[in-house]
Amino acid sequence: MNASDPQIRSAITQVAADWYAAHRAGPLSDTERAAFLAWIKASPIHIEEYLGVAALERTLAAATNDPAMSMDALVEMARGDPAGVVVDIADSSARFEPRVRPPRRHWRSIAAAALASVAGICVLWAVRDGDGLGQVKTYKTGHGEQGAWPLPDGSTLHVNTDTAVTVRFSSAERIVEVDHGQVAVEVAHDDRRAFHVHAGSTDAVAVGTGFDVYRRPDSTLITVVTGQVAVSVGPFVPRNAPAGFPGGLRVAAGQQVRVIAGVLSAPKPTDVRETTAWLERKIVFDQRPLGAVADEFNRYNDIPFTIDDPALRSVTISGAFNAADTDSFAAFLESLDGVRVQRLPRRFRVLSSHEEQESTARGT
Amino acid sequence: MPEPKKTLVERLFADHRNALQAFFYRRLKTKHDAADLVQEVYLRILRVKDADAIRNPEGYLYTVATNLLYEHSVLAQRYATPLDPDQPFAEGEPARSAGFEELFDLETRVVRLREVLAQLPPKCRATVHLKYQHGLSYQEIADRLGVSPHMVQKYLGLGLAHCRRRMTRMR
Repeated sequence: MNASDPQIRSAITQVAADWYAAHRAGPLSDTERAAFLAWIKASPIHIEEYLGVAALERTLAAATNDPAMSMDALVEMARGDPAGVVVDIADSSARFEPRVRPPRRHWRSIAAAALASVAGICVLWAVRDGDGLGQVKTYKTGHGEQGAWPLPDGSTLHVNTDTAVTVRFSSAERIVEVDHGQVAVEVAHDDRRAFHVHAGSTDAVAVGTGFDVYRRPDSTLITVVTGQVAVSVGPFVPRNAPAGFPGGLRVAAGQQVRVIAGVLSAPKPTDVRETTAWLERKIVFDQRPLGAVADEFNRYNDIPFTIDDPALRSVTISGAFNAADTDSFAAFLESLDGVRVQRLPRRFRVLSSHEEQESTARGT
Repeated sequence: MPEPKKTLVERLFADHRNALQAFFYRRLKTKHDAADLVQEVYLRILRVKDADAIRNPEGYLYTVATNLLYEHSVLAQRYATPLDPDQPFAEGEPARSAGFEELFDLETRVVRLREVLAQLPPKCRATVHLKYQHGLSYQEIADRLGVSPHMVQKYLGLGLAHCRRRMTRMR
């Protein structure tokens, strides 16, 4: 088979596009995944065409942006297509059935999978008697657990792994207290009640906003996704401060501030996707040191990655992984030049090739 | 008809995959020999001992490609910079011109892609628009067009393949 033949290349493009469309329908079944992997491994041309189809997406988003193409107009257009059969007009002479086709997809919801990941999370109720209107609720997640809950005001609270957070709502204000860990909130607008997130002595007040607060043992990171947040350190803004006009440092969408030892840094532009990737249980890293990425993985998983070699820890890598998918991350590390991964019973040991040779020589 | 309200998570990640792809496309086009890079991605995937353990082969493919491109760009910078000692602005210059070029490229590609989309049969074209312009799911598109979600997937595959073939010739 000669892949420079336009007919064959055209057929490969079709299979690549079919696989790409199959992926957009939801997670592949085990059989489909194995078939896709086998297809990818069959030829570099398959990879080239798959990446080529995937790279269209950004241009497609811009090219399809046409106000004349309202949903109604599009449905009208499609209905006027009597045959209902799609023919690839321009390449009709070159088309034939490729040998490998992606299997037919069964339509199913991924909601079940999403629910399953939340199932193990513990929610504690505690209604305070002395606080008539107050609703107090504590949310805790263990190692590797995540959750998302609607709050009584219509806001949504997303809670990441190893987090404890208390929500106190009253008629005067809405407060989320982060004891430790990471939360992201989508704030429902309410003129009468400001929305505060407290992390130790740090207070973040939302002004119609989505933002992320990550309270670590030695520092707190606040990342603003949409809208604005007023961040202050120290005594909180008094209860009766007018909502919508909070004091403190204004942080805009796309910016991040850091609080270390009670000192607030100036807002800096940041990659919001990287900070909030955990919402999809993803770990996204762009040119980050391997050591830091491994630490991030270890936040979610019981079997940690350990890297002793400082030189190896500082190697920069880029990528995006499912946080629970340690096998794929290990496989990715092994594909890097000079990197080996040992699968030990209680950890993944990441080492450089020469380290491995030394330890083999020593018999350890 | 009002746009369906997107959640924070959907808004955040709508363009994540695009960012990886844009990175791939840009570098591939300007700096490196595409065939060499694809070959390298291929070799790295073959090198994985227990490939069946990869739970998300598609994400894995993007990751290997992105990381490889980054390595190449680092190497290119490291070796390119000392060669231009007489150009005081050499460091800032390439990034800026690459930005312009990318913008120009994107506009040219968008214009061309509109022509290509107009060649598609109506149902196929409507599917691509409902997916990329209106962000509908296969099920939502299927409900509107009165076909099965499987047909929607098929229309999209045909539409994307057509775009890919036509856009390749443009380079």
